[in-house]
Amino acid sequence: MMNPSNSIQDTASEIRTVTLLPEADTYVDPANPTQSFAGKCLVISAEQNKPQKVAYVRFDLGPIPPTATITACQFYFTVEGQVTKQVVKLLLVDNDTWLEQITFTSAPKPTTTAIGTWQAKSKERVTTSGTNPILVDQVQKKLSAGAVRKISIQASSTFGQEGGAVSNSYWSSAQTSATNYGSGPRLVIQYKPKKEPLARDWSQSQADAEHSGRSAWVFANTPTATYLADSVLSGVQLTSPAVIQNELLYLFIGTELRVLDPNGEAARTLVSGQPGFGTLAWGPNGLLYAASKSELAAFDITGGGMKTISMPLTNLSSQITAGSDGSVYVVQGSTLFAYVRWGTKLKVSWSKDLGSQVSEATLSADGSVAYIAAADKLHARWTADGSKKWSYALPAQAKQLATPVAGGATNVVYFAVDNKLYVFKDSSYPIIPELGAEPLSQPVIDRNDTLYVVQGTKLYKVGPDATVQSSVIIPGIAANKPVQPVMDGDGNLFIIDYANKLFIYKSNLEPPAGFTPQVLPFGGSLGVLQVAPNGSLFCNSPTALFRLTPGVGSTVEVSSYADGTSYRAAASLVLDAAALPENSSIIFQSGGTITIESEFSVPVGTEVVFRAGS
Amino acid sequence: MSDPTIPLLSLKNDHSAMGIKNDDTYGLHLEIATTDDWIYTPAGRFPDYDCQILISIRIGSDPDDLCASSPVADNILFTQYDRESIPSGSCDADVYSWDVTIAPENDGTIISKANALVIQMSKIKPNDAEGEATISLLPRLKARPSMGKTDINGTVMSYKVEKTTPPMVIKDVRWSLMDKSGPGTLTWTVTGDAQRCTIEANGEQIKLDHYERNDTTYKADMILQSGPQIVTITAWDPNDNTASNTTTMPFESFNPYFNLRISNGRPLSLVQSDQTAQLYAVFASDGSGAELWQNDQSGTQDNWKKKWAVLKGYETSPCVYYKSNFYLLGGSSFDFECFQNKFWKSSDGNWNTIAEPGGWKEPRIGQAVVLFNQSIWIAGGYGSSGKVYDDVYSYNQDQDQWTPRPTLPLPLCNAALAVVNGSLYLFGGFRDMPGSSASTKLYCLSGEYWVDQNKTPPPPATVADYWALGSLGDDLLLLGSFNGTSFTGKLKRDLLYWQSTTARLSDLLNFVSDDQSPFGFSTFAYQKRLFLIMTAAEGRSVFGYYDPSTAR
Repeated sequence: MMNPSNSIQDTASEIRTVTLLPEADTYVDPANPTQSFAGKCLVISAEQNKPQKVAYVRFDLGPIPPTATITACQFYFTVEGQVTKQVVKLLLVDNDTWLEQITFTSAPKPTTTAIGTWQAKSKERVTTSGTNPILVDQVQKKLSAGAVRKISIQASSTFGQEGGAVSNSYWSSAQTSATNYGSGPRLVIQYKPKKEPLARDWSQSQADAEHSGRSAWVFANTPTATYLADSVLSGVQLTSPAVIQNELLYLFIGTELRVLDPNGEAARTLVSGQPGFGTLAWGPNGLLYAASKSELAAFDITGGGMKTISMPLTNLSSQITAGSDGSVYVVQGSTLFAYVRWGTKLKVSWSKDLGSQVSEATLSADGSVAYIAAADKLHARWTADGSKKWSYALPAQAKQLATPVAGGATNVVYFAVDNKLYVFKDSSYPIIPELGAEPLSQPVIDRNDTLYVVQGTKLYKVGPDATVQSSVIIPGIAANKPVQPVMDGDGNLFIIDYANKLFIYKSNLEPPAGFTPQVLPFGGSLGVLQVAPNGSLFCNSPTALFRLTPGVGSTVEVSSYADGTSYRAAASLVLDAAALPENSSIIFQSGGTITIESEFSVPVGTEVVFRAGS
Repeated sequence: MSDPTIPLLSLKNDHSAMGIKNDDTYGLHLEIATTDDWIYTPAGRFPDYDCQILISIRIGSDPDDLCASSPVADNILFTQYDRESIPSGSCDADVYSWDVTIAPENDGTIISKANALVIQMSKIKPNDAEGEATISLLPRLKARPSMGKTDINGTVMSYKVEKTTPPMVIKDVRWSLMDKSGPGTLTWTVTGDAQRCTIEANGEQIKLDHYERNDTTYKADMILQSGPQIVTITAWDPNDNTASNTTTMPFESFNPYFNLRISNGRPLSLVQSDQTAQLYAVFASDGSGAELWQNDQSGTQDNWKKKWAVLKGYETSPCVYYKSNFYLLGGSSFDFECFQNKFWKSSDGNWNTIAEPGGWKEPRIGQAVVLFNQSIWIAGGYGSSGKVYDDVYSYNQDQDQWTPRPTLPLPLCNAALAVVNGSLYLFGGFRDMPGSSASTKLYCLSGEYWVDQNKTPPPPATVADYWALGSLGDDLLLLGSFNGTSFTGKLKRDLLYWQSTTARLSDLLNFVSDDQSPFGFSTFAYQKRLFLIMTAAEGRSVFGYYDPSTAR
């Protein structure tokens, strides 16, 4: 299910979606007033229009930023076993300290504040209405309630014919859903985070959970005609590609998690003695997720790098996808597992076997939908519980699947499968633009959701309406296998081919003025590219980490400032303009000096980095 | 590039059954292959042609004509298989034809030697003229507009079907109670390859739990209602061709409740109205939405005209016609999928919002609605939070504003309101969630208060299952089910108690358990009858009327 008209829908990118699993749930029975039913399924019953067995459920709102604005909330419950027709009402419980071992005698009394209702008939899954301003108000109040940010509910029913009929229903609890992950109770919340300065990161494979392949940062006066190549690390055994946060690079080298300041400082070991973690992704609050074939871990980087989460995996077969809410998606064998934050830990929210050759999960901009490609089908599943939004059967077994790419405002999603591009926009049926015959590269998208994809020696630009806007032959590219381009925030595309040659194309599919494809002085097969917030590009071979630095001018004068922009000079950066924009994030970097003219000011809420002399 | 070619069609299989009698229906089931694979691969992204088979029949009274007239051919039903797109047919002189557009397979194959295309036509009523009718099939590539191409026709394949004696005949129809209504046994015989039978009485399909069959003899237990009954038995063969038999049974007594069969779709609600020239109702036609319909004569089977679509998400919302506008008022009367707190108005099919009442802070269902004192009144309801409300508001179109009115005597959802002789009455309503304990008191609004009329229905009507309140002339009518027994009560101003009239509301209903009870009610008095829609699950919704002149 979970495509009812009143369900939480995927919305514009400023909205975030988080799924909460209960931290405690049980039911109590007046017929057995001192008996605890902890660990059992939840039972709700009524007799002669009076509630009998009532359920208690509590959720920790910790994963939601306290400053967020709640926009929608919805409870999900799943019938366990048989259900009789029943209407259930949820009442707010003010006491958030009760234990699962409560009995009818010791259970906290509910308030009179009703916050949700549902009708159960024959469907397995029920939800409260997706438009419930009273629940939104109550969650908002609880969110700003101080240190304890939890919400407790009592679920009861007075449904039933008078004269003796009993209405009795059984619902999955957190414990009883341990083998059927998606069936546990859950509270799905959408919120708008408070606007904060743009993070200086490349948070995971293909940049973000939408796998846009694009840095959010714009680099003034780039792309340049030349890029300076140097090695940052060499003679090491790289286990994972790097991810970036606060301009620092984090990666696994052998059994060590290392952090590297590319502007000078040597790589520093944060944690050692770890298994070969091959994929990394940033979660919220300085948590770095890492996965190996047999372990999903999280390292508290803010707290010094201590491993705080370790969960067993079986046959990991994908990169990590991490949602902005801290959720984690990985494929084990052919099964996609969704984990959500649960206190300081992760917990499996749902899992789905999707056949064979399953791609990474790509999240919609608001995090409400996960897109996955498999050998026989393309899938869209609600992240709330893994239920199907739609699926599309491929005409033939796919040989090569790229990671899906999800758009922002246009709600488009692109799947590159073998030599075909499937474009889904507000529909479960794709439009398939006419491209060439070779396998497609990993696509990337720009800020307008326009897609760029390399096929053989040709670069295509495809709009969200699936029209091929333009294409260009890339002379001299060695791309007998699909390449993995990346993009900066201005839509400039960077490609390294299999002869280790760098190609750059602007969003109009023209190379930068004066730029000719540049043979890189790097050996070995180069891995994926990352675009650093200051405009440098990083890539790696199995034994080295390389950097490409834009050949910016010696002296650069800046006459105005824009949010999410890095201004850079080789020797002298002169800041001519006065105030920076409010709530913005800006980087100033110079190989020599930074000169600040008078009346320069930094508004409250703006984050600015000055880096000179390196 | 050379033009694409079209191979010859060939008949691979034929499972057709065709008779002569135009009271019955017959069908053609043709499996069409080609002598060589018919493949069309567009040269560019957009194809120049649509691949089609033009199917033509002749109409008229000659032996080689299939149907007698164009309207008869209009009713021929095509089963639309994968890859087939079949719009309505068209008539040109004495030829009636359909364009069957075929989507090519991924490899461009339209029809191949191995994989035949199935053409299935049913509900064919032949022209009562013995002979062989010709059906021609022309494969063609129909040039798409603006592509600069012209049509490419293949070779016509002519198929002849013999109109002979009907393959099935129904006869010997007998009703065990002879000229009386009630529970009895219907027997009949069917010769031919009948797979199943269906029965309609007065156009309404009678649901049969089962019937017994012994060779050609059939037997079914059923209830036939009072009043003249036109009983139609239809037999279906393996290809869904039908033969029918119609028998009129002039039962004398007449049931005051009459269940109407409407082709408009599933009945959802009657529209309360400040005029009586038209009967308005909302029906769900095909599962994709709902439409407003109007009827200006009997309010029964005929004369329904579709007006326009009801706003999506508001299909089961209370709807009223007030001062030449239709209004949709918040969420549905029952459907937990449709909590709403928006209000809409339309005079031409375009719905525009109006302000909601001040107290409507969350979406609701189960609010009571009535037209009273030249205003729309709306009372109580069940919120998406589970809260039950007691607030009452009235809306005056001229002032375009909601005015708070005296609150209900207690919070109620799914209550019923009705107006008799200028007084506003309230009955029923769930005190908590829908399906919880229900009120059975009758209140009347007097000044600022709802006054208990102390006219609780007599047993069994003290325990309410479901109910509807309506007014007809000077009578306040209560139709419902109480403690499992249906009940109709009538109340006049000078009556001390509800006067029980008839308990035969159950004759309207198929409901057999609480799980299948109706959950939405709407009534409207029209031409001396109280029309009623009880909305329930698919296939169980009821549209009927109560005629007190025939009540016993």
